[in-house]
Amino acid sequence: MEHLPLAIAQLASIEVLIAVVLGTLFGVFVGVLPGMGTVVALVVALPFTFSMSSTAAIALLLCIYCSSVFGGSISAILINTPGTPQSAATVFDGYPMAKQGKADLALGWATVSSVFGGLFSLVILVVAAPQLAAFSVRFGQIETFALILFALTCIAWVSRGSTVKGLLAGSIGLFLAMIGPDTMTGMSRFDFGIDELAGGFSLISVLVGLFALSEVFYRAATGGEAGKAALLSRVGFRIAPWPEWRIRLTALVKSSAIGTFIGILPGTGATAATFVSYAEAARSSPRREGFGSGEPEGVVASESANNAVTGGALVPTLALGIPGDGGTAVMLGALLIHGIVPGVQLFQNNPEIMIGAFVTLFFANILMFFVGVLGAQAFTRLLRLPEPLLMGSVLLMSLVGAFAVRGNPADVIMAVAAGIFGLLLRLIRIPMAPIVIGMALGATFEQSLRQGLMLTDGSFLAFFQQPIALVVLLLTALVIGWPFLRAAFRR
Amino acid sequence: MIAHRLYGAALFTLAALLFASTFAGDYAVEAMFGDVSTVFVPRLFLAAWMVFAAFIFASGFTRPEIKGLPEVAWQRLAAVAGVAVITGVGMLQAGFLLSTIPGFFAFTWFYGYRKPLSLAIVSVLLPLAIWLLFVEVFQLPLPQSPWFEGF
Repeated sequence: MEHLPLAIAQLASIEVLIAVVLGTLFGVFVGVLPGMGTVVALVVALPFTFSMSSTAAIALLLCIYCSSVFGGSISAILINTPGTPQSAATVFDGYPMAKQGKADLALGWATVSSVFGGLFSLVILVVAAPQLAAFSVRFGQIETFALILFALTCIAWVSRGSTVKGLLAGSIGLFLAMIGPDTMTGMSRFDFGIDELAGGFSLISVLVGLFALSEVFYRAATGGEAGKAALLSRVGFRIAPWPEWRIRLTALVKSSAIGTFIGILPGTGATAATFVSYAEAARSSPRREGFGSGEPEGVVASESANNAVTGGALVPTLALGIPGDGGTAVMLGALLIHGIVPGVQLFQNNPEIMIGAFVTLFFANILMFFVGVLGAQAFTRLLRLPEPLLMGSVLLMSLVGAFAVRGNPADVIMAVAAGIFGLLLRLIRIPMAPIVIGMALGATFEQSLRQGLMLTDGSFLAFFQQPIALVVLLLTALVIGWPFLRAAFRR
Repeated sequence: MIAHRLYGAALFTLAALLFASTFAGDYAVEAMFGDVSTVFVPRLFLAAWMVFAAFIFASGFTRPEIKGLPEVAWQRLAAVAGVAVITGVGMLQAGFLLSTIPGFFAFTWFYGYRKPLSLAIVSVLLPLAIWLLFVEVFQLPLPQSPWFEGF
């Protein structure tokens, strides 16, 4: 703590303050735009940092990193399109809330949960960074595989009422993640000689198609009744009364803890954290019946977890020099460009940089709240547009979003195809969320399984000899078997 | 239920064809160092896909018809979906601005917006604003026209 005054003195310059404000605004703005995402936001801002002091550069990038994740929730709630993959699970309950005329409340839940998750992980980061970094090293491929397997159980939870259809959709999503290059051997799979398929599907383009474009087509197909509800909905920003929060505090804290912990694990990422958290909330909540149809706890679980990842992912990045996700990988590169070498030495040699980063994150989260309050007013004005103009704008942003991720023309076609596919799924009432979950986790599932098998010389049984993996696998078995066990106990 | 039988059968067939394709010679590469074949995990997913699709197909013989399916305005759907496809493909062939300006106008018109003057203004300004934001501010290239340099 003796370095705190020095860190604050470094941050209390006009340059750093401007970087914090602009970084937060830019992060939220880019996060709102579907297809841009955290990594693109950081990459775009990176050249601007070259002329800055290292403190201002770190402040700018940290604020963008933190606030862009939150920004994704705004478009997820308002136009059914997650601005970033990390907010994919927010769509499940956030958009139904907006359709029920509670867009203002949904934004309130999302903003407060995001700020809480961010601050929660920051506290953990400050208190336990060195210890957590050491524990995260024990998470190898086998443990990651077990964790992803656990995350996949949420497919069953998000498709309650049509479980088989959900599981079918989930397996389709998992398979879609297999198209393109095999990450282990580089061999192209299932491209059938079509060049555009050789690179695989972009998750964002499929997300854009399944959620945004299919919504546009569905509204056009059904006469736009769904849109009228949204147009008449409350706009702005509203925080639910305390009793509503009180009954969801457990989910808020639990999801923040899950997000922080998964953020710490190198290479797992915020998207997995969001789905693990959502699955856990959907499994354990007393309000689980409402999940998927506008239950605020779904928004709380998703948003607190994805923002908690930001603090958690900085633990291995700063303490070990191992990036926790794509965003922190860019951050790592930026730090090296500015002559700061992350690792254990950073704690010992430049503690003021670490503490400065903590203080910056604190301000970024506080500022994010106000940007959320003011920005919600601006963004919800979108809902006042005549529906055809709003839907036309969603179409354009979707096409741009699909293209901008990789600059791959095939992604535009894929987004439109996914939109038509999504419309068919809506019409025959197959849930779409499991496809996204499958796509988001499929590649990590395969990679961790195969690398784990290589470590155990092809023995899957050896997976059960790893204590952490064993605990997670048993937990997964318990979650899957719980309905059967409960039925057996009742008899 | 006919719908269940139809899409259950269609999805099962698709998965079966994909599963069969994993036995093509291209994938017959020996795995090393304890790794599994490059199509091992895809086969797991496709097998699950087939099982669930078969289950849905079978349930089509026992379940009642779904009630309350939405009425579909097929003409309007075909028009807006057609415009979306043409705009998406056109964006790649003719460039962003040349396709999205008429594309936005046509899409919104078919969707039911009938104020031609304001629609024409928005149809020019919105794509232009998106273009400027991405290309000039974010320096992220959008598809350009092969006929007009820079647009």
